[in-house]
Amino acid sequence: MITVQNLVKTFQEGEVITHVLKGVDLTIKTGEFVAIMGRSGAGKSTLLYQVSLLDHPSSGAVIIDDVEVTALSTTERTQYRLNNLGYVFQDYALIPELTAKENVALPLLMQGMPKEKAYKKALEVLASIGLADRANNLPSKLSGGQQQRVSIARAVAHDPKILFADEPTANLDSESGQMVMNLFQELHKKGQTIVMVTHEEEYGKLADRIVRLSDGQVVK
Amino acid sequence: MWKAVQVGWFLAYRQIKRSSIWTTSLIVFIMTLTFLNLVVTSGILVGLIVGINQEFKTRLNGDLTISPLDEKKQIEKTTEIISLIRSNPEVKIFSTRYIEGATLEAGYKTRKDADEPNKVGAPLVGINPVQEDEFGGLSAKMIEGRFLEAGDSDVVVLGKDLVEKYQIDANRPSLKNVATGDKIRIKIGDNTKEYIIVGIIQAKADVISGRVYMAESEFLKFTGAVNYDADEIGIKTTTDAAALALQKTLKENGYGQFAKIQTFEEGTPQFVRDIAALFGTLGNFFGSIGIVVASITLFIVVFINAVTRRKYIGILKGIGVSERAIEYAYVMQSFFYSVIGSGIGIFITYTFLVPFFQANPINFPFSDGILVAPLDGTLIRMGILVFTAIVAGYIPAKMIVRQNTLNAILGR
Repeated sequence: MITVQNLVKTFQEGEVITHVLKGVDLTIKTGEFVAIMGRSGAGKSTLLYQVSLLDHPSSGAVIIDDVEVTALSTTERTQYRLNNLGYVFQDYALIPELTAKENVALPLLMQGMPKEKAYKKALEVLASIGLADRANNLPSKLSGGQQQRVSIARAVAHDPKILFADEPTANLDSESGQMVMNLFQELHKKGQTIVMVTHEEEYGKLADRIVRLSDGQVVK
Repeated sequence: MWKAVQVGWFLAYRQIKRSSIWTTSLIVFIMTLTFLNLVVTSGILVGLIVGINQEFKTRLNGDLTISPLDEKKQIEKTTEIISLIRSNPEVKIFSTRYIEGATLEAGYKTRKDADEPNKVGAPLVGINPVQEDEFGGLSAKMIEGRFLEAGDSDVVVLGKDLVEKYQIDANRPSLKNVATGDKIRIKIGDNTKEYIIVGIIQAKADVISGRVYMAESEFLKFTGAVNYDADEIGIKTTTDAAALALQKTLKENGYGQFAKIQTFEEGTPQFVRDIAALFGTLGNFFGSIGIVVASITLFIVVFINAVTRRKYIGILKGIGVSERAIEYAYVMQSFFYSVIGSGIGIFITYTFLVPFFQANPINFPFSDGILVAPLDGTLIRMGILVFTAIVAGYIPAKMIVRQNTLNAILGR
C-alpha cells in the first residue's frame, strides 16, 4: 500500500518560488490500478516523480508498505527503486546501445541475477508481450509502440511491487496506445499495482480509480 | 561491488561495441599519438646520447679501455698486458694505439718568409691499420682518399678537424689548402719528416676527427721509441660480463698499478653522463606534458560523451543501476581506449619506429641518433598513460552521475 501524507513540492528559480504540490494526501491499495489525471501544470507528473522516488519532496512523506521511502538515503532509494519499483516513461527511455533483450535484462543483472538467467527471463517477458522476435533488435530498429512495450517489459521483468507510468501513450498512435493499455490491464489482472499519469480520458477510465489533481491538490 | 563491476562491464562493452567506429577510432588514435609522444620524444633524446656512446664504443674505446695512469705517459708492461688480452677467448678484437703530440705543417715549400706558417698541433696516432679498421671500421669513414693499409710507410690519414675546408669551427686551428695527395711535414721533438696525405677521415666521435694517423711501424721508427709501451688499448669482448671478467683478471694480475683499466661506462666522461641524465630528464618532462595533454583530451572526450548521454545516465539511475556501476562503465571505456591506443603505439614503436631509426639514424653532428625504447620503460609509460586515462575518465563520469536523477532524465 502507498500512503502519501501532506506532500509538498516547491521549485525555486531565483527569487520566484512555485508551489507545484500543495499538501497532497493519497492512499493507493496494493493491486490497485490508479490513473492520475488533471490539466497541464496540475502537478500530476510531479506527484508521480515524488511517489516513485525519482525526486525528493520539499516536505511530507511517502510510505510504501510501512517503509517511509522519503526518509531513505540516495543509495537506499536507488536500491529500493531497483528491487521494488518499475518505470514506464513517455519517451520509452530505452538505452540505445542495448538490444531489447539487454534493456529488459539490465535491472535483473543489477539485482545480481546471472546473465544467462537474466536473458532467459527477459526473453520470457518479451515473448509475453509479443516481441520475442525483436529481442535482439536495438531500440532504433523498433517502432514507437514496440519500444514502449519493451519499456514495459523492462519495468516488470523484476516483478516490482508498483509499476509507475508517466504518460505511457502520449507518443503513440491510437492502435499502439490501446496495445499498451491492454498490457497494463493484463498486468493489473495478475495483481500488479499500477500508478499511471495520463491526460487521455479514455485510458484513464480503464483504471480502477482516477485521482484528479488541480493546482497541486487532489480534487477528486 | 562485484555486481557493479559486472554491470559496468556490461554497459561499457556494449557502448564501445555499438558506438560510432569513427568516434572510437579517433579516441584510439589520440591515445596512440599520446603514447608515441611519450615514448618517442624521450626515446630520441636518450637515443642521442646513446648514439654518442655507441659511436665512441664502436670506433674508439670498445668494452674495455686501457690507458696510462694519470701520472704516467704510457701504459707500462704493454707487451704483457697484450699477451694476456690475446689469450682471453672472450676477446673479439683489440687495437693498440701509440700517441704522441705532433706539429703538422703544410705549404712549407711555397711559403714566403713573411707568411704565417700553415701549422697545426695534433695527436699523432700509430696504429695497426688492419687491426684498427677491424676494430672501428674507420675505412668506412673516409671523406677523401683511402684509409691506411698494411705496409704503408710514408703516408698519413688526417682527421677532418685538422683540415680547414672541413673544419666547422673557424676559431680552431687547422691546415689551409690541403687535400689528399698533398705533402705535409710532421714534427715531433727534434724529428721532422715529410708524409703524403692519403686520406681524410670524419667520424662522429670527435676524438677520431682530431687525430692524424700513421702505421704503427712507421710511428715507432719516426718517434724513435725505445719500447713498445702503448698509449691506448681498446678491447671488444663477446659480452659486457666478459669485459668485467677481463678487467678483473687484469687487475688480479697486478696490471692495475701500471695502467688504468676501465669498462666503457667507467671511462665515459662525467659530462657525457650528465648530458645523458639531462636529456633523460628533458624527455620525461616533455613526456609529462604529453600525459597532461592526454588527460585533458580524455577528460573532454569522456565529459562530452557523458554530457550527451546525461539523459540515459539518468534513466539508468532511475531504473536502479547504481552510480558506481555507471562510473565503472566510463572508467572501463577509458581503460579500453588507453590500452588499445598504447597497444597500437607499442606495435608501431617496435615494428616500425625502432627498426627504422636503427636503419636510418638521425644525422646529428656528434652522433647517429637512434630511438631508445627499452621494453620495461615502455611498459611503465603505458601504465602511466592507462592510469591517467582511468582518472581522466572517472572524474567527468562522477561529475555527471552525481547530478539529480530526474533532472537528467527530463534534460533539465
